[in-house]
Amino acid sequence: MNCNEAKELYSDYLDRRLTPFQNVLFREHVDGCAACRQDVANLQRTVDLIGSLDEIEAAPDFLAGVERKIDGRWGRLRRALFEPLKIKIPLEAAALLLVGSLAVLVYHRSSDQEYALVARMEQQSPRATVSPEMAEKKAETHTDREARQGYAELSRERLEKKSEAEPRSPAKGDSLSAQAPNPPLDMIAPEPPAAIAPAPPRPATPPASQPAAPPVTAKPASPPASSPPAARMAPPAAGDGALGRALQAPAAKPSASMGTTLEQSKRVETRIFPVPQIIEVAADQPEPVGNRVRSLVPEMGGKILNETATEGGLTISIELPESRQTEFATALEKETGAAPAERPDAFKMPDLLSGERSVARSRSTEETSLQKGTEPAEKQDDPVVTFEVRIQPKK
Amino acid sequence: MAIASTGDPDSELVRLAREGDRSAFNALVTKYRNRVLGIAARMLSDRAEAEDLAQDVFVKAYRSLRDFHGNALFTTWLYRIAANSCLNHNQRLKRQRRFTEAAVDSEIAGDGALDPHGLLEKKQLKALLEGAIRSLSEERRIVLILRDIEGQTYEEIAECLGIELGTVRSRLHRARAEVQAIIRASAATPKPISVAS
Repeated sequence: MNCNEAKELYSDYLDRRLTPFQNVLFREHVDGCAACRQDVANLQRTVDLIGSLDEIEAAPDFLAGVERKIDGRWGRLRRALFEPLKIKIPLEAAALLLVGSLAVLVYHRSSDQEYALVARMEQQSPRATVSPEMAEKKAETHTDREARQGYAELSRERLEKKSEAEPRSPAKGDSLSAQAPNPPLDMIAPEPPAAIAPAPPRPATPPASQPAAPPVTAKPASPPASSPPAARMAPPAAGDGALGRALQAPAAKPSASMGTTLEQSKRVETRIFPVPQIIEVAADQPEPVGNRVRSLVPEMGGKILNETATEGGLTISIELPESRQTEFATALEKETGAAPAERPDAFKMPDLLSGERSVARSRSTEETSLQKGTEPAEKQDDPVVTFEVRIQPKK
Repeated sequence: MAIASTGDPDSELVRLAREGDRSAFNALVTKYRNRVLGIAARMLSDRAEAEDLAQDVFVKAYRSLRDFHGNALFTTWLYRIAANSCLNHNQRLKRQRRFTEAAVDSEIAGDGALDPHGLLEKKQLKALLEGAIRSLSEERRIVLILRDIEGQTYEEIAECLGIELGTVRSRLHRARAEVQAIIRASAATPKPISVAS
């Protein structure tokens, strides 16, 4: 073995990686070669020095850094919640809790939204069902500010109506009794038509203050136009037929003959129902107009409730879908043959939703009415309103 | 899969860590953090980068524990992750910026100039050695670190780096020879002697 061959084995020799045969040859050469022996010694020293290099100390937060990297952003929180050393919260339990909380939240929210919806409906329609007490309570407790305001207004309105209605409602025959809450229509229904006594005739003469009578005038029963809507939505006065009498029955004292239960009495207190309106028609010959009414009502999806012959005239109680009332009045008006110039600019008709509403008699309205005439009249969500058409001979 | 009983002193900690015991894994980190950091620091030029990489090595180890079946020592497996991470890091670094040997050489010359009379301060000598190790090529450097600093066997190094035993031997031999040559050259370079007048 020469020096070059020996040099290739220095490292293996130091690590005792030489085969026994290589080892013998290497030792023979090194023993006889001072330079190689020195080189081996130097290399051994170098290796020892390398092995003695100081250990590099990691920073104190090294482990924390590793944990941060492993866990990510929310890892510590997750581990704190779900991985305590002794008590581990099962993931399923956590999921169940979460689902339960969500369900409660959704239920609570939907309940509030429902009340808010009812409040809005109340603002738009007096026939929705919220008692003053409920409205007052929701005005205080509702989580939604807008809904609270809505309920507060509603509560005030209901209380005003209630205070106005309560002292007058028992007085039968009182002209203001029309403002009292009326029993629902379903309370009227059980009364058989045969039991309805013919109503005493009512003077058909319009009030003297009324302007030149249009051929067809739908007007409130008693109060002036400046009255609040509730006052204008007046039923006929006492004695105007069985329907009128039934509607005038005090809400707080429903008669047993009407089959009213305690629960129905409560409903009477908290619900407001439509009242019959009066449409007065002055005609030279009442009978053809009456015939037209009889034919128009079924066409409009309504029905004839009662007919009463009056002095030279005729009173027909009818039921109509609310959406057809304007159409009906317009059609009836056309039947009278009155020219538009003879009447005010707008045909005034009491509206059950917003008091008195002006219905412009435009061509488009008439066209719309005609189109509507082809639709099925009875719709489930279309409320029914009651009218009395009083046809009087012209004087 | 159960960890094979190979006489690995870390087998119990590894088993617990595989079962999700974080404290067992933390114990492994605490035990080997300096050694992994030593490899990273000698393979990388920047200490902060080395520390970051060493942490990444443990993160990789944590996430790969399920793949560790105990066929080798945990240290061999861990060093393999460390070595590969370092080599990959340096390759990425090389692509980003040119790493000149000259810079390293100048650092060595500056830090490790030997006393002309062979009276090397220990600190000087260690700085010289560190510079010499850094001057090695990555392939040789990692073998030298694993063998002479971490004390891995040739077989473990071969397994760790995925190379043949003969390759380990030759790379180690070259690495040692280079380091020795650098030290010798530094010792032969005379320092200017100031003469008092």
